[in-house]
Amino acid sequence: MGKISIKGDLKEGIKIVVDSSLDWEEAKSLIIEGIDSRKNFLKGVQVFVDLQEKIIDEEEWKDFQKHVFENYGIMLTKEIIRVKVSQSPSNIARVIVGPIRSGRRLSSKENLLIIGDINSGAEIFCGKSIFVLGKLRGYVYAGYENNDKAIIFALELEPERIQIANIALDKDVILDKSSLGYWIFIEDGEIKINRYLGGKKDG
Amino acid sequence: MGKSLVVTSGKGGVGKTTVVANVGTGLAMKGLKVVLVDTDIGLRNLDLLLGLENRIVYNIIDVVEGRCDITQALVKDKRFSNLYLLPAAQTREKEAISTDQMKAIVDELKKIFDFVLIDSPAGIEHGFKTAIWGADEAIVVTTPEVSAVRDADRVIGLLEANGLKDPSLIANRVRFDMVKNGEMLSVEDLLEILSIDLLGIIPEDENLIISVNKGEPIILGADKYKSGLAFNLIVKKLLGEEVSWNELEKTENFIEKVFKFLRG
Repeated sequence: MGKISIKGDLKEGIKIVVDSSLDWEEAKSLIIEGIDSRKNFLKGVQVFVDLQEKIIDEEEWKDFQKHVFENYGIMLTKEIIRVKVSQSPSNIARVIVGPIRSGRRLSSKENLLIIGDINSGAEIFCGKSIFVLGKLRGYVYAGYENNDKAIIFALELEPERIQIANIALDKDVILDKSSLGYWIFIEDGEIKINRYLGGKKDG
Repeated sequence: MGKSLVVTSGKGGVGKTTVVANVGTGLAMKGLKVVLVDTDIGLRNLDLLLGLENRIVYNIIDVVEGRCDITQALVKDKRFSNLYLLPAAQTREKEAISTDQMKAIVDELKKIFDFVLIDSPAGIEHGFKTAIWGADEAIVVTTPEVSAVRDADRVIGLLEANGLKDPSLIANRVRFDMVKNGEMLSVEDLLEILSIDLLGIIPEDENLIISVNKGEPIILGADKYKSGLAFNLIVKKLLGEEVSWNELEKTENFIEKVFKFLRG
């Protein structure tokens, strides 16, 4: 009888490896057992499940993911997500202490570091990267107009609109709102979003 | 030298005039000399809330245009001899007074009164700009609705840009039962989005409609009506006392709950 292993890894975070000899039903109950006994430690954490080439029906996976999330506050993922920065941004940033209120329009050629929220109805235009230590609720445009190396970081995302260079982010892509910290960047001509590994502690 | 406070909101109908009428009356009840300035030229309401609509002879535009001096335009309150109203003109428009003219009038009033409360019109155009021009401090009124909150945020940005740092917030028409059920933004949510200090909370109260129609500020019934109590607490806070808002949540007592249930 196969089993699962749960371990921590510097590069990949917490990882559950599912032995390929297990069938999916067995694997699920072993995963639940493993999570349950560690639930306080793992709460709020994103955990990578290595299915070792096993093919699972997408609906089935999503239901399981949802079940685990609702009962334990743990986000399971099949794909490894690594924090990725495509190019180090330059070192100069204009620091602005927020909140950036509705109706305010900021533009900057240099990187912007905003400490606080960007409220809905505010507009930020930046030639380089934008780092928001707060909630991104407004309209944020980084890499204006053609700088696809620009990135956006925000602690929480509830945007009206996000754009880098000439690509806008599809808001439906922001699925998991429980974690804290998102990197948004352009890679291979597409705009992508990564979560910051670390999770949010439930208050 | 008195202090001038402007009460503004961005969004219309959230309770600015009600706040001015009641807080003004409350300060007068404490013995202070208070004047309430209605800057909503063309859509004046403050006189109605005080029940003074039949006593207006001159208004602020008459003062600006030299037909009378300031003291002739002031209307003494029915109930408190230390409370006065400077009415707006109903037949004119906001452009009839400039920011400098407003400031001059407010500065004059500060010499005579302890508190000058300025009732701002809704919006962010000329009327609003004039109303804030003479103010030392600002109070922003909002209701727990996303539309009001966004407008309040906009207004706070404009106040800060015009040198009125640290405005304080009054959250009006709060329904604690709906907040508990997650159906309404909580005061904490408002403070989180707006990031300014809380001055007060006023719970939703049907009795306010009656008090407006009667021209009797509800703070006069603070022992009977929870919104009246709320205004009392706001006046205390304004005068530097520490207050707790928990009293407001508790006042929905058992009898009220029974009636609510019966009404369905």
